[in-house]
Amino acid sequence: MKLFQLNSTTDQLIERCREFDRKAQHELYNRFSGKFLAVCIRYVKNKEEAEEVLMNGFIKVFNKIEEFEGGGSFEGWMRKIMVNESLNHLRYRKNLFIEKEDEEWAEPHHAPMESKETTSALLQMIQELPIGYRTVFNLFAIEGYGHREIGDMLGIDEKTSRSQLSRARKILQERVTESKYLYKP
Amino acid sequence: MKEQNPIDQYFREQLQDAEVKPSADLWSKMEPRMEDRQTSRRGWFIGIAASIAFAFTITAWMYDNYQIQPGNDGIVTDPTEIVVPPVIDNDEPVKEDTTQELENTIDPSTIANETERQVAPSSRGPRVVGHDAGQSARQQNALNSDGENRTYAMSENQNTDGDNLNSQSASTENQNNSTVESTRPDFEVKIDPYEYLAARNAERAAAQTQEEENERVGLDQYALGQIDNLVSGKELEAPKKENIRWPEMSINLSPIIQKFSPLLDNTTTQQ
Repeated sequence: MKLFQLNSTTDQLIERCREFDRKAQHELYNRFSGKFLAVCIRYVKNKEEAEEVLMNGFIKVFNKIEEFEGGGSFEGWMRKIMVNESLNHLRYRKNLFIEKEDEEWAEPHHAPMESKETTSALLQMIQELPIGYRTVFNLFAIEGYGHREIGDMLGIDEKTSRSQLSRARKILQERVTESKYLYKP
Repeated sequence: MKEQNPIDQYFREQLQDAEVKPSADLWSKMEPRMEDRQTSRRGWFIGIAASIAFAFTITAWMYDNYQIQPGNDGIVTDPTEIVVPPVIDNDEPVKEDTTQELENTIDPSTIANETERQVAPSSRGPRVVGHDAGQSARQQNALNSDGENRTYAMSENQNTDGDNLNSQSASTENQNNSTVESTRPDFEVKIDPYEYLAARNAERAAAQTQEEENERVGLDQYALGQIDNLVSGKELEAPKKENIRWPEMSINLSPIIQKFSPLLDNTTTQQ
Protein backbone atom coordinates (compact mmCIF):
# COMPACT_ATOMS: atom_id res chain seq x y z
CA MET A 1 0.00 0.00 0.00
CA LYS A 2 2.71 2.37 1.04
CA LEU A 3 4.76 1.40 -1.99
CA PHE A 4 1.82 1.89 -4.26
CA GLN A 5 1.21 5.33 -2.85
CA LEU A 6 4.84 6.30 -3.28
CA ASN A 7 4.74 5.18 -6.87
CA SER A 8 1.48 6.85 -7.70
CA THR A 9 1.96 9.51 -10.30
CA THR A 10 1.24 13.16 -9.79
CA ASP A 11 -1.76 12.82 -12.09
CA GLN A 12 -3.30 10.19 -9.84
CA LEU A 13 -2.52 12.38 -6.88
CA ILE A 14 -4.22 15.33 -8.52
CA GLU A 15 -7.30 13.26 -9.25
CA ARG A 16 -7.51 12.20 -5.65
CA CYS A 17 -6.92 15.75 -4.50
CA ARG A 18 -9.82 16.87 -6.65
CA GLU A 19 -12.01 14.63 -4.51
CA PHE A 20 -10.57 16.29 -1.42
CA ASP A 21 -8.93 13.07 -0.32
CA ARG A 22 -7.07 14.12 2.78
CA LYS A 23 -4.39 11.45 2.38
CA ALA A 24 -3.65 12.54 -1.16
CA GLN A 25 -3.43 16.14 -0.03
CA HIS A 26 -0.94 15.15 2.64
CA GLU A 27 1.11 13.26 0.11
CA LEU A 28 1.11 16.22 -2.26
CA TYR A 29 2.25 18.38 0.62
CA ASN A 30 5.02 15.96 1.51
CA ARG A 31 6.18 15.86 -2.07
CA PHE A 32 6.31 19.58 -2.74
CA SER A 33 6.55 21.42 0.57
CA GLY A 34 10.37 21.45 0.61
CA LYS A 35 10.63 22.81 -2.89
CA PHE A 36 8.03 25.49 -2.38
CA LEU A 37 9.34 26.56 0.98
CA ALA A 38 12.60 27.23 -0.83
CA VAL A 39 10.60 29.43 -3.21
CA CYS A 40 8.76 31.28 -0.47
CA ILE A 41 11.86 31.83 1.58
CA ARG A 42 13.54 33.63 -1.31
CA TYR A 43 10.82 36.26 -1.18
CA VAL A 44 10.02 36.21 2.50
CA LYS A 45 13.18 36.22 4.54
CA ASN A 46 11.82 34.97 7.83
CA LYS A 47 11.39 31.21 7.83
CA GLU A 48 8.30 31.26 10.02
CA GLU A 49 6.65 33.81 7.78
CA ALA A 50 7.68 31.80 4.75
CA GLU A 51 6.04 28.76 6.30
CA GLU A 52 2.87 30.69 6.81
CA VAL A 53 2.97 31.76 3.18
CA LEU A 54 3.58 28.16 2.18
CA MET A 55 0.61 27.08 4.24
CA ASN A 56 -1.69 29.65 2.65
CA GLY A 57 -0.35 28.64 -0.74
CA PHE A 58 -1.11 24.97 -0.16
CA ILE A 59 -4.60 25.73 1.13
CA LYS A 60 -5.20 27.75 -2.02
CA VAL A 61 -3.87 24.89 -4.14
CA PHE A 62 -6.19 22.39 -2.46
CA ASN A 63 -9.24 24.61 -2.70
CA LYS A 64 -8.66 25.77 -6.24
CA ILE A 65 -7.49 22.47 -7.62
CA GLU A 66 -10.69 22.25 -9.66
CA GLU A 67 -9.52 25.31 -11.58
CA PHE A 68 -6.36 23.56 -12.70
CA GLU A 69 -6.71 22.31 -16.23
CA GLY A 70 -4.61 19.33 -17.10
CA GLY A 71 -2.85 21.18 -19.94
CA GLY A 72 0.14 22.78 -18.23
CA SER A 73 2.54 21.57 -15.60
CA PHE A 74 0.92 21.12 -12.24
CA GLU A 75 4.13 22.03 -10.47
CA GLY A 76 4.37 25.23 -12.48
CA TRP A 77 0.77 26.07 -11.56
CA MET A 78 1.48 25.48 -7.90
CA ARG A 79 4.69 27.50 -8.09
CA LYS A 80 2.77 30.40 -9.55
CA ILE A 81 0.36 30.25 -6.64
CA MET A 82 3.24 30.18 -4.17
CA VAL A 83 4.91 33.16 -5.80
CA ASN A 84 1.65 35.09 -5.78
CA GLU A 85 1.14 34.29 -2.14
CA SER A 86 4.66 35.48 -1.36
CA LEU A 87 4.12 38.72 -3.24
CA ASN A 88 0.82 39.26 -1.45
CA HIS A 89 2.56 38.73 1.83
CA LEU A 90 5.25 41.24 0.92
CA ARG A 91 2.67 43.71 -0.32
CA TYR A 92 0.42 43.63 2.72
CA ARG A 93 2.80 42.80 5.55
CA LYS A 94 6.02 44.38 4.45
CA ASN A 95 4.73 47.35 2.52
CA LEU A 96 6.59 46.34 -0.57
CA PHE A 97 7.32 49.59 -2.29
CA ILE A 98 9.89 50.01 -4.96
CA GLU A 99 11.01 53.52 -5.65
CA LYS A 100 10.59 54.63 -9.17
CA GLU A 101 13.90 55.00 -10.97
CA ASP A 102 14.20 56.89 -14.16
CA GLU A 103 17.92 56.56 -14.30
CA GLU A 104 19.07 54.04 -16.89
CA TRP A 105 21.35 51.54 -15.34
CA ALA A 106 24.24 50.50 -17.48
CA GLU A 107 24.50 46.78 -17.45
CA PRO A 108 28.08 45.84 -16.62
CA HIS A 109 29.66 42.82 -18.11
CA HIS A 110 29.57 39.81 -15.85
CA ALA A 111 32.21 37.17 -15.97
CA PRO A 112 31.04 33.54 -16.05
CA MET A 113 30.49 32.18 -12.57
CA GLU A 114 33.08 29.74 -11.44
CA SER A 115 32.40 29.45 -7.76
CA LYS A 116 30.75 26.44 -6.23
CA GLU A 117 28.66 27.88 -3.45
CA THR A 118 26.33 25.79 -1.40
CA THR A 119 22.65 26.28 -2.07
CA SER A 120 22.01 27.68 1.37
CA ALA A 121 24.79 30.23 0.91
CA LEU A 122 23.27 31.43 -2.33
CA LEU A 123 19.89 31.54 -0.70
CA GLN A 124 21.31 33.63 2.07
CA MET A 125 22.86 36.02 -0.42
CA ILE A 126 19.50 36.56 -2.05
CA GLN A 127 17.77 36.99 1.27
CA GLU A 128 20.23 39.68 2.26
CA LEU A 129 19.35 41.79 -0.76
CA PRO A 130 17.06 44.77 -0.23
CA ILE A 131 13.42 43.84 -0.66
CA GLY A 132 12.95 45.44 -4.08
CA TYR A 133 16.09 44.00 -5.62
CA ARG A 134 15.35 40.63 -4.17
CA THR A 135 11.82 40.44 -5.49
CA VAL A 136 12.72 41.51 -8.97
CA PHE A 137 15.75 39.24 -9.11
CA ASN A 138 13.70 36.27 -7.94
CA LEU A 139 10.96 36.89 -10.43
CA PHE A 140 13.24 37.59 -13.36
CA ALA A 141 16.23 35.35 -12.89
CA ILE A 142 14.77 32.32 -11.17
CA GLU A 143 11.04 32.27 -11.96
CA GLY A 144 11.72 33.52 -15.47
CA TYR A 145 9.16 36.31 -15.78
CA GLY A 146 9.77 39.15 -18.25
CA HIS A 147 10.15 42.74 -17.15
CA ARG A 148 6.70 43.67 -18.39
CA GLU A 149 5.05 40.90 -16.33
CA ILE A 150 7.11 41.87 -13.30
CA GLY A 151 6.10 45.49 -13.79
CA ASP A 152 2.41 44.46 -13.84
CA MET A 153 2.79 42.21 -10.84
CA LEU A 154 4.55 44.73 -8.68
CA GLY A 155 2.94 47.84 -10.06
CA ILE A 156 6.20 49.37 -11.25
CA ASP A 157 7.70 50.53 -14.53
CA GLU A 158 9.45 48.14 -16.80
CA LYS A 159 12.44 50.46 -16.54
CA THR A 160 12.40 50.33 -12.76
CA SER A 161 12.31 46.57 -12.91
CA ARG A 162 15.34 46.52 -15.15
CA SER A 163 17.39 48.79 -12.94
CA GLN A 164 16.42 46.88 -9.80
CA LEU A 165 17.56 43.70 -11.48
CA SER A 166 20.89 45.19 -12.48
CA ARG A 167 21.54 46.42 -8.98
CA ALA A 168 20.67 43.03 -7.59
CA ARG A 169 23.02 41.32 -10.01
CA LYS A 170 25.82 43.67 -9.12
CA ILE A 171 25.46 43.02 -5.41
CA LEU A 172 25.27 39.30 -5.91
CA GLN A 173 28.32 39.29 -8.12
CA GLU A 174 30.26 41.07 -5.42
CA ARG A 175 29.07 38.66 -2.77
CA VAL A 176 30.01 35.63 -4.82
CA THR A 177 33.49 36.91 -5.56
CA GLU A 178 33.90 37.90 -1.92
CA SER A 179 32.95 34.48 -0.71
CA LYS A 180 35.54 32.89 -2.96
CA TYR A 181 38.28 34.39 -0.82
CA LEU A 182 36.62 33.74 2.48
CA TYR A 183 37.61 30.87 4.65
CA LYS A 184 35.18 28.00 4.42
CA PRO A 185 35.33 25.18 6.89
CA MET B 1 19.22 38.38 -22.45
CA LYS B 2 18.44 36.65 -19.19
CA GLU B 3 19.78 33.40 -20.61
CA GLN B 4 23.08 35.09 -21.26
CA ASN B 5 23.54 36.60 -17.87
CA PRO B 6 25.86 34.29 -15.93
CA ILE B 7 24.69 35.41 -12.52
CA ASP B 8 21.05 34.73 -13.31
CA GLN B 9 21.96 31.42 -14.82
CA TYR B 10 24.11 30.45 -11.90
CA PHE B 11 21.54 31.31 -9.31
CA ARG B 12 18.74 29.69 -11.28
CA GLU B 13 20.63 26.46 -11.69
CA GLN B 14 21.44 26.39 -8.03
CA LEU B 15 18.11 27.48 -6.62
CA GLN B 16 15.54 26.17 -9.10
CA ASP B 17 15.28 22.83 -7.41
CA ALA B 18 16.48 23.84 -3.98
CA GLU B 19 14.58 22.46 -1.03
CA VAL B 20 14.14 23.85 2.43
CA LYS B 21 12.68 21.49 4.93
CA PRO B 22 9.61 22.95 6.59
CA SER B 23 9.08 22.41 10.28
CA ALA B 24 7.56 19.05 11.13
CA ASP B 25 4.37 20.34 12.67
CA LEU B 26 3.45 22.54 9.73
CA TRP B 27 1.00 20.04 8.27
CA SER B 28 -0.76 19.59 11.58
CA LYS B 29 -1.01 23.37 11.87
CA MET B 30 -2.41 23.54 8.38
CA GLU B 31 -4.97 20.77 8.61
CA PRO B 32 -7.56 22.54 10.76
CA ARG B 33 -7.47 25.52 8.43
CA MET B 34 -8.28 23.43 5.40
CA GLU B 35 -11.82 23.26 4.08
CA ASP B 36 -13.20 19.90 4.98
CA ARG B 37 -15.45 19.26 2.06
CA GLN B 38 -15.47 15.53 2.58
CA THR B 39 -17.03 15.80 6.00
CA SER B 40 -19.55 18.25 4.65
CA ARG B 41 -20.57 15.58 2.14
CA ARG B 42 -20.72 13.08 4.97
CA GLY B 43 -22.87 15.55 6.87
CA TRP B 44 -25.35 15.61 4.01
CA PHE B 45 -25.41 11.86 3.96
CA ILE B 46 -25.99 11.65 7.70
CA GLY B 47 -28.78 14.20 7.45
CA ILE B 48 -30.57 12.27 4.72
CA ALA B 49 -30.17 8.98 6.55
CA ALA B 50 -31.52 10.51 9.73
CA SER B 51 -34.58 11.92 8.00
CA ILE B 52 -35.31 8.56 6.37
CA ALA B 53 -35.01 6.81 9.71
CA PHE B 54 -37.28 9.42 11.28
CA ALA B 55 -39.92 8.95 8.59
CA PHE B 56 -39.70 5.20 9.03
CA THR B 57 -40.20 5.34 12.78
CA ILE B 58 -43.17 7.65 12.39
CA THR B 59 -44.76 5.29 9.88
CA ALA B 60 -44.13 2.28 12.10
CA TRP B 61 -45.62 4.09 15.07
CA MET B 62 -48.70 5.08 13.13
CA TYR B 63 -49.06 1.58 11.72
CA ASP B 64 -49.00 0.17 15.23
CA ASN B 65 -51.54 2.65 16.47
CA TYR B 66 -54.04 2.55 13.67
CA GLN B 67 -54.03 -1.13 12.90
CA ILE B 68 -57.43 -2.92 13.06
CA GLN B 69 -57.82 -4.68 16.36
CA PRO B 70 -56.80 -8.30 15.86
CA GLY B 71 -58.47 -11.36 17.38
CA ASN B 72 -61.70 -11.59 15.40
CA ASP B 73 -60.35 -11.43 11.85
CA GLY B 74 -62.37 -8.28 11.39
CA ILE B 75 -65.74 -10.05 11.90
CA VAL B 76 -68.32 -7.94 13.62
CA THR B 77 -69.75 -9.72 16.60
CA ASP B 78 -73.02 -7.83 16.98
CA PRO B 79 -75.65 -10.51 16.15
CA THR B 80 -78.28 -8.07 14.84
CA GLU B 81 -76.02 -7.26 11.96
CA ILE B 82 -75.48 -10.82 10.82
CA VAL B 83 -78.87 -12.35 11.32
CA VAL B 84 -79.66 -12.74 7.65
CA PRO B 85 -76.52 -13.97 5.86
CA PRO B 86 -75.53 -16.92 8.05
CA VAL B 87 -79.11 -18.23 8.17
CA ILE B 88 -79.36 -18.31 4.42
CA ASP B 89 -76.02 -20.00 4.18
CA ASN B 90 -76.79 -22.68 6.65
CA ASP B 91 -80.38 -23.33 5.84
CA GLU B 92 -80.11 -23.67 2.15
CA PRO B 93 -78.90 -27.23 2.15
CA VAL B 94 -81.26 -28.04 4.99
CA LYS B 95 -84.21 -26.36 3.36
CA GLU B 96 -84.65 -28.72 0.48
CA ASP B 97 -84.38 -31.78 2.62
CA THR B 98 -86.74 -30.68 5.29
CA THR B 99 -89.33 -29.22 3.01
CA GLN B 100 -89.37 -32.35 0.92
CA GLU B 101 -89.61 -34.43 3.99
CA LEU B 102 -92.35 -32.27 5.35
CA GLU B 103 -94.30 -32.30 2.15
CA ASN B 104 -94.02 -36.03 1.94
CA THR B 105 -94.75 -36.97 5.46
CA ILE B 106 -96.41 -34.21 7.36
CA ASP B 107 -99.70 -32.59 6.87
CA PRO B 108 -99.24 -28.88 7.61
CA SER B 109 -102.23 -28.83 9.87
CA THR B 110 -100.59 -31.24 12.26
CA ILE B 111 -97.66 -28.90 12.70
CA ALA B 112 -100.00 -26.07 13.44
CA ASN B 113 -101.74 -28.17 15.99
CA GLU B 114 -98.44 -29.06 17.53
CA THR B 115 -97.34 -25.51 17.95
CA GLU B 116 -100.65 -24.54 19.38
CA ARG B 117 -100.49 -27.31 21.85
CA GLN B 118 -96.96 -26.48 22.89
CA VAL B 119 -97.57 -22.83 23.31
CA ALA B 120 -100.79 -23.25 25.19
CA PRO B 121 -99.31 -24.01 28.62
CA SER B 122 -97.42 -20.73 28.71
CA SER B 123 -100.78 -19.04 28.27
CA ARG B 124 -99.73 -17.10 25.22
CA GLY B 125 -101.89 -16.55 22.19
CA PRO B 126 -100.92 -18.60 19.16
CA ARG B 127 -100.58 -15.43 17.11
CA VAL B 128 -97.73 -14.36 19.32
CA VAL B 129 -95.77 -17.39 18.36
CA GLY B 130 -95.49 -16.22 14.82
CA HIS B 131 -93.90 -12.96 15.79
CA ASP B 132 -91.86 -14.28 18.65
CA ALA B 133 -88.40 -15.77 18.77
CA GLY B 134 -86.69 -12.91 17.02
CA GLN B 135 -87.46 -14.32 13.64
CA SER B 136 -88.72 -11.20 12.03
CA ALA B 137 -85.91 -11.24 9.54
CA ARG B 138 -86.64 -14.79 8.64
CA GLN B 139 -90.29 -13.95 8.39
CA GLN B 140 -89.60 -11.31 5.83
CA ASN B 141 -87.49 -13.70 3.91
CA ALA B 142 -90.26 -16.20 4.01
CA LEU B 143 -92.83 -13.72 2.83
CA ASN B 144 -90.66 -12.69 -0.04
CA SER B 145 -90.11 -16.18 -1.23
CA ASP B 146 -93.66 -17.22 -0.56
CA GLY B 147 -94.94 -16.83 -4.05
CA GLU B 148 -92.22 -18.95 -5.53
CA ASN B 149 -93.46 -22.05 -3.82
CA ARG B 150 -89.82 -22.65 -2.87
CA THR B 151 -90.24 -21.79 0.74
CA TYR B 152 -87.96 -21.99 3.66
CA ALA B 153 -88.68 -24.45 6.35
CA MET B 154 -89.55 -21.67 8.68
CA SER B 155 -91.95 -20.01 6.29
CA GLU B 156 -93.69 -23.30 5.91
CA ASN B 157 -94.13 -23.36 9.59
CA GLN B 158 -95.39 -19.82 9.58
CA ASN B 159 -97.88 -20.33 6.83
CA THR B 160 -99.30 -23.42 8.31
CA ASP B 161 -99.66 -21.57 11.57
CA GLY B 162 -101.72 -18.92 9.91
CA ASP B 163 -103.89 -21.38 8.02
CA ASN B 164 -104.72 -23.34 11.06
CA LEU B 165 -105.43 -20.36 13.17
CA ASN B 166 -107.90 -19.19 10.65
CA SER B 167 -109.65 -22.48 10.27
CA GLN B 168 -109.54 -23.18 14.01
CA SER B 169 -109.85 -26.89 13.32
CA ALA B 170 -107.28 -29.62 13.37
CA SER B 171 -107.21 -33.34 13.12
CA THR B 172 -104.19 -35.04 14.53
CA GLU B 173 -102.70 -38.45 13.91
CA ASN B 174 -100.42 -40.02 16.41
CA GLN B 175 -98.10 -41.35 13.79
CA ASN B 176 -97.66 -37.97 12.25
CA ASN B 177 -97.22 -36.43 15.61
CA SER B 178 -94.41 -38.73 16.46
CA THR B 179 -92.70 -38.03 13.16
CA VAL B 180 -93.09 -34.36 13.69
CA GLU B 181 -91.59 -34.53 17.10
CA SER B 182 -88.69 -36.53 15.81
CA THR B 183 -87.95 -34.05 13.06
CA ARG B 184 -88.66 -31.02 15.08
CA PRO B 185 -85.58 -30.58 17.32
CA ASP B 186 -83.19 -30.55 14.37
CA PHE B 187 -85.31 -28.13 12.64
CA GLU B 188 -85.54 -25.66 15.49
CA VAL B 189 -81.88 -25.74 16.38
CA LYS B 190 -80.86 -24.95 12.90
CA ILE B 191 -83.23 -22.11 12.55
CA ASP B 192 -82.87 -20.23 15.80
CA PRO B 193 -80.41 -17.50 14.91
CA TYR B 194 -79.64 -16.29 18.37
CA GLU B 195 -78.78 -19.60 19.83
CA TYR B 196 -76.94 -20.56 16.74
CA LEU B 197 -75.00 -17.37 16.43
CA ALA B 198 -74.22 -17.17 20.10
CA ALA B 199 -72.94 -20.68 20.10
CA ARG B 200 -71.02 -20.14 16.95
CA ASN B 201 -69.46 -16.91 18.07
CA ALA B 202 -68.53 -18.44 21.40
CA GLU B 203 -66.99 -21.37 19.60
CA ARG B 204 -65.18 -19.14 17.25
CA ALA B 205 -63.87 -16.94 20.04
CA ALA B 206 -62.79 -19.96 22.04
CA ALA B 207 -61.09 -21.43 19.01
CA GLN B 208 -59.41 -18.17 18.35
CA THR B 209 -58.02 -17.73 21.82
CA GLN B 210 -56.93 -21.33 21.69
CA GLU B 211 -55.28 -20.74 18.39
CA GLU B 212 -53.59 -17.63 19.60
CA GLU B 213 -52.17 -19.39 22.58
CA ASN B 214 -51.08 -22.28 20.46
CA GLU B 215 -49.64 -20.14 17.74
CA ARG B 216 -47.71 -17.90 20.02
CA VAL B 217 -44.22 -19.04 19.29
CA GLY B 218 -40.82 -17.84 20.37
CA LEU B 219 -38.76 -16.14 17.71
CA ASP B 220 -36.16 -18.88 17.77
CA GLN B 221 -38.77 -21.56 17.12
CA TYR B 222 -40.26 -19.44 14.43
CA ALA B 223 -36.88 -19.08 12.77
CA LEU B 224 -36.34 -22.85 12.92
CA GLY B 225 -39.74 -23.40 11.38
CA GLN B 226 -38.90 -21.03 8.59
CA ILE B 227 -35.65 -22.83 7.95
CA ASP B 228 -37.63 -26.08 7.65
CA ASN B 229 -39.97 -24.36 5.23
CA LEU B 230 -37.04 -23.08 3.27
CA VAL B 231 -35.41 -26.47 3.07
CA SER B 232 -38.61 -28.21 2.03
CA GLY B 233 -39.35 -25.51 -0.51
CA LYS B 234 -42.55 -24.26 1.06
CA GLU B 235 -43.49 -20.63 1.22
CA LEU B 236 -42.16 -18.63 4.10
CA GLU B 237 -44.70 -17.28 6.55
CA ALA B 238 -44.44 -13.84 7.98
CA PRO B 239 -45.21 -13.92 11.69
CA LYS B 240 -47.96 -11.74 13.05
CA LYS B 241 -46.89 -9.50 15.82
CA GLU B 242 -49.38 -11.03 18.25
CA ASN B 243 -48.21 -14.54 17.42
CA ILE B 244 -44.72 -13.99 18.65
CA ARG B 245 -43.86 -14.83 22.18
CA TRP B 246 -41.56 -12.01 23.02
CA PRO B 247 -38.76 -12.77 25.41
CA GLU B 248 -39.58 -11.51 28.82
CA MET B 249 -37.17 -8.96 30.02
CA SER B 250 -36.95 -6.73 33.00
CA ILE B 251 -34.37 -4.37 34.28
CA ASN B 252 -33.90 -4.14 37.97
CA LEU B 253 -33.36 -0.50 38.70
CA SER B 254 -33.37 -0.78 42.46
CA PRO B 255 -29.58 -1.18 42.91
CA ILE B 256 -29.04 1.91 40.83
CA ILE B 257 -31.61 3.81 42.77
CA GLN B 258 -30.18 2.59 46.02
CA LYS B 259 -26.73 3.61 44.94
CA PHE B 260 -27.79 7.18 44.62
CA SER B 261 -30.49 7.48 47.18
CA PRO B 262 -28.44 6.86 50.39
CA LEU B 263 -26.49 10.05 49.82
CA LEU B 264 -29.69 12.00 49.69
CA ASP B 265 -31.11 10.07 52.66
CA ASN B 266 -28.03 10.68 54.79
CA THR B 267 -27.91 14.33 54.09
CA THR B 268 -31.56 14.76 54.80
CA THR B 269 -31.48 12.74 58.01
CA GLN B 270 -28.33 14.44 59.26
CA GLN B 271 -29.76 17.77 58.67
